[in-house]
Amino acid sequence: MRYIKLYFLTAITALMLFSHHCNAQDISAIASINKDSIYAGQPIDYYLNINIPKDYIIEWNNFNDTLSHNIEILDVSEATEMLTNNGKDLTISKTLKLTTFDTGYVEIPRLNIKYHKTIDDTSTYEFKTNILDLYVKGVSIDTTNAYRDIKAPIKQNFTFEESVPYIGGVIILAGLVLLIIFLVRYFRKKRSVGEIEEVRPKIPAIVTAREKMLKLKDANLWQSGKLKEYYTDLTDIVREYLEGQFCIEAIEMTSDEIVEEVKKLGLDISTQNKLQETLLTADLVKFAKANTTSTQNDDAFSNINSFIEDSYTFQEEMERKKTEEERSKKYDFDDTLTEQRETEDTK
Amino acid sequence: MMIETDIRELNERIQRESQFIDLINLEMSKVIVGQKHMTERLLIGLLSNGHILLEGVPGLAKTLAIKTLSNIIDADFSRIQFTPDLLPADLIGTMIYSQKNEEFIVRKGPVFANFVLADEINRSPAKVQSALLEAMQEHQVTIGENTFALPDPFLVMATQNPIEQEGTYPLPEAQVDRFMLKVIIDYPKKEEEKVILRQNINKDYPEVKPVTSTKEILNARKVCREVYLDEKIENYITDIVFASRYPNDYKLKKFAGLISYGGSPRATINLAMAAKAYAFIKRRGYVIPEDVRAVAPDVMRHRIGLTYEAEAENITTEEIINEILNIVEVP
Repeated sequence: MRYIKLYFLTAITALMLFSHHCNAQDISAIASINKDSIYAGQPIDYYLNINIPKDYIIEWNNFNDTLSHNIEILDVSEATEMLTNNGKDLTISKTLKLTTFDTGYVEIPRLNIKYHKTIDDTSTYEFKTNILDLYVKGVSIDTTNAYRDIKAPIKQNFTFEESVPYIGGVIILAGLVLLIIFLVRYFRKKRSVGEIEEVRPKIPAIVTAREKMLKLKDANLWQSGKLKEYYTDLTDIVREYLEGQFCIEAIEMTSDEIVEEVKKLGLDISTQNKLQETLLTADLVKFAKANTTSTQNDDAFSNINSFIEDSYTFQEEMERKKTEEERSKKYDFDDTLTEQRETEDTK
Repeated sequence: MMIETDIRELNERIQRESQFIDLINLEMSKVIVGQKHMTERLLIGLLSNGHILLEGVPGLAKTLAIKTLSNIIDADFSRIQFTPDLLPADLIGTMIYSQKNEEFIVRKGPVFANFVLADEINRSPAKVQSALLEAMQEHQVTIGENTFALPDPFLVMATQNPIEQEGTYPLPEAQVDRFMLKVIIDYPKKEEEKVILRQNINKDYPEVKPVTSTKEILNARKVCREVYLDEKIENYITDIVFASRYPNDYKLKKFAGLISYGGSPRATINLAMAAKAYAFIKRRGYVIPEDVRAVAPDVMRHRIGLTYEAEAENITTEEIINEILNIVEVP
């Protein structure tokens, strides 16, 4: 019985002592921290527990960077709510991560919590949390050891998440390059399609030479006194023919040089002589005012004509022989191969 | 075939007038082994009244060839060794005071000769080179108040070697242009070298004798000038010179940045004159494209300026001339 009396007395005293935390409507706000002492800069958790009737609305403070001039807020959690007292009251919890760099005893000040009694209530009421003390220790310097360099920044591993923007950038860039290439090709193709030129088949040198010889004959140049023009055209025809048929750059060569080059072709002497004689006559007419007779003019024409035909036939013959030789060589090789196989099979 | 009367006559005249060519060649070959190209070019210069610049390494008989030519022609010959301390007066002459006559009299310099050998012309400073080149161009020399005509024929053959360029005075482009031909002399062939060796070991130096006279040379020059040059050849010559000036117009775009300047009108004139002389040597009264092509490198070589880019790429004027001759259409 004596103990029961003592219990009630203690309870009544406690109620009287903590009566400033509450008002008439059972409102309370208790602040606590997870550590009493920390090293400078070390984070601590600051728990805020508010007990209010369930209809009351808390108007939360804007927790910016600092709580006071020397206490910094690192993080603020979302508020969690829980109905208590058979659904009549509401308990709200909120955790703030704080730190400070001042050493010694630091006071965590009261927080003013504002609230409204109903949603429509325009009046603002407030209550305060309790003050907390925190002891902040500094880093002790060991002066007995030698000075050391500042530690290098800690290397952090490059994570995949961090590389995602770069990979994305590369993919986008590659895509752009491909797009540009595609567009350039597309427009080029489009333009080239629009500018199709007429492709003419290359006319063989012998055909051109024959046509020009006929034209020269029909032009009757020497008959009309244009002897120089006649021989100029005649030599031009044979020069162009040599360039087209035998790849001899005769247009830029003198008569002697042409004769020397033609000798290398292996034509028979009479064919070579026909060309040489005509070129000599042409040089005399062109550069030495020589006057040729009609017979000489006709001879020059027939000489060039037969040179063109003979050299063409000669080249055709040579090519035919070459093809036959290659073919016979191939057959010989095939025969030898067949014989070898047969011998191997027999063995 | 009838060649027009004047050309036929000219051919006949050339046959007559050019007989001394064989004699000169024969006499020259007694002393100069090989070097046909050089001998032929000396004759071209002689016949077309053009001066010659010979370039080659020492010991290639440049001086001997010129001296021999003057002996063969029976003409006055003087040799001037160009040195750094040579003065114009040493070359053209000066006024000296005669105590006997108590007046200044003219002492003519070695330039007063038919054949002047200016040995190593690039060893003397520009003032001496200018004095000689003025004489070459004007065929006269002024000493004091008197002007003296130089003898006819007057032919300057200058030599220079392409090595030992230190302390030399390279001829400026404008002065090099006064030379009709620049002949590059190369080493003799192996067989020729052996003949030279034997001749010198045995001290078996054949004597050359005069086979022609200056009068005959002057007559030959007249005939040479009459050699027929057709309009087609004129076009060919101008095309070659223009290709060196405007390579872009002649499918030679690759040379556009390599040529700083092309052949001058003097190049055109000299190309025609040299081609005529070459035709004369070949006993023809008319010029054919072969003649132009034969002399073009020697006429054009020193008249095409190369840019720094060409020098950096080791491109020579010979390569450019060859390309021009390969591109320009032959009539």
